[in-house]
Amino acid sequence: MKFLEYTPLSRLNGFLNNVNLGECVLKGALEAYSCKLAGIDRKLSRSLEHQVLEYLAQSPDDHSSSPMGPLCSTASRRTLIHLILTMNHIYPDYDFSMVQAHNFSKECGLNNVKQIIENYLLEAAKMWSAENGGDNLLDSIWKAVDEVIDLADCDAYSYMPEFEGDPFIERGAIWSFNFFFYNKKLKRILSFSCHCLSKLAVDDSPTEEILSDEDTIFEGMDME
Amino acid sequence: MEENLKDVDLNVRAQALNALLQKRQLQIFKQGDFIVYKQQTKEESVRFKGLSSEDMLIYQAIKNAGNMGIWTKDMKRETNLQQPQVNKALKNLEARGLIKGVKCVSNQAKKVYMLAELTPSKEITGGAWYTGQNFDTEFTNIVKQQCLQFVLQQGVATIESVADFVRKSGISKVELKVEELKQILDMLVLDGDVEEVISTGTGDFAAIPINKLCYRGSQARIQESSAFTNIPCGVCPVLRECTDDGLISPKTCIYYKKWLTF
Repeated sequence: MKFLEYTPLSRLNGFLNNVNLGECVLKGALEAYSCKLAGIDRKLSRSLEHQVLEYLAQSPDDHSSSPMGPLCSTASRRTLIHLILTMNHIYPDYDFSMVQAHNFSKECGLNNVKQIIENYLLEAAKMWSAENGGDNLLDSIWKAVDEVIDLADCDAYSYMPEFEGDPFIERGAIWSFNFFFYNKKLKRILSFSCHCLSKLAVDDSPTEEILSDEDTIFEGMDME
Repeated sequence: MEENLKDVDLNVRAQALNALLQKRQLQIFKQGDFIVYKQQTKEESVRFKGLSSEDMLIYQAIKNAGNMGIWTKDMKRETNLQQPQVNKALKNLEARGLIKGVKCVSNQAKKVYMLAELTPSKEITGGAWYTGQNFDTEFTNIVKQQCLQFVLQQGVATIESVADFVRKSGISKVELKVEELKQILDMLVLDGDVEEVISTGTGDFAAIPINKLCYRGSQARIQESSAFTNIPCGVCPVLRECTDDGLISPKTCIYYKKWLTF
């Protein structure tokens, strides 16, 4: 998977990477990749394919269905593999090989997705507008995304983190979302992930002090 | 070295040292405030021949982590190298068979590496109770049941006698150490099947040295459910505030309402 540099996306990332919303901080990232497999990726895609086929061979027929389509079809498997490889590139310290098809969900309708994202980014959009002479954040995002990946031809998937320590789950996050826009024809994937961190959760030490204060407050009190 | 090479110019010395380091015939260590040079054996210098200094930095970081292994994120922090450099170094070292990737039971997605010749520690593999990446519930249960039967049979048993029994019975192909069996006995204690007692050296404990920790079947089990816990009042959080005519009363009790709908 090759990371695609694109100035409008970089500019948006510069803003989205750190948006101070008062009590919380928004951190988002738009990353586009081309699905050209080279070196380690090609090797990994072969082993992933093998893994899926082995799983299919062992389980009953109706387990073939997945959000990407039936896993017995090469195209569905390729979608799954591209998604996993993209995740490996977004978080290079992790290997998502054990992620399975059912950990993803396919979003129906891009307008749905746009609406969801718009709701989450309402506050951030206000800040962008103030900093950029009334410019609309969402419009800018979709324009840039469209230029890289041609949204109309995309399938949108969302990853549901399951295991403990999954980097997609941020400690202290009030909310988060992640979407992968996959254009099969262009062979490109764009990941749009975002989470909102409560400022209280960012520093560990103050909360520990608060807790120990609470203990001393209760000392000497009679609990009925 | 100062003494032996007094007549050799400092610069020449430095150049010679660097050349030898490059050829991997010397290894550099820090002992407190001193820099110490150690001669590498011929086999070692062949192993590391041709590896760049970044490869060696990563190798050192991995070596220092011993059998716990080191996560790629920590590697980056320790060596201050960037992702592509780390990737390249790992690829080179793995190709040479010097390091291997391992999976932790605590977090299967983390990329952890250790020296190829080391056996991963218990913390990473989960020890005897894990087969591959999964907790072996069946195996653990079998061993647990056997231990319980043995303790009940014996009346009183020490951890060593349990270990002995398990070893002789051959129910485990893998040798189970005393600490692992202690984990099983702790499980039984927490389940309420077995209790820990200190030997008095007399009576039932005659065979066991005084003050030694041993195990016997639970004498007084708390029943899982009784009449008292079956009715709402038994587990009511506001029992103390309940009066006939108060805000909280049996007449208006929501728990009874729910309980009586069947």
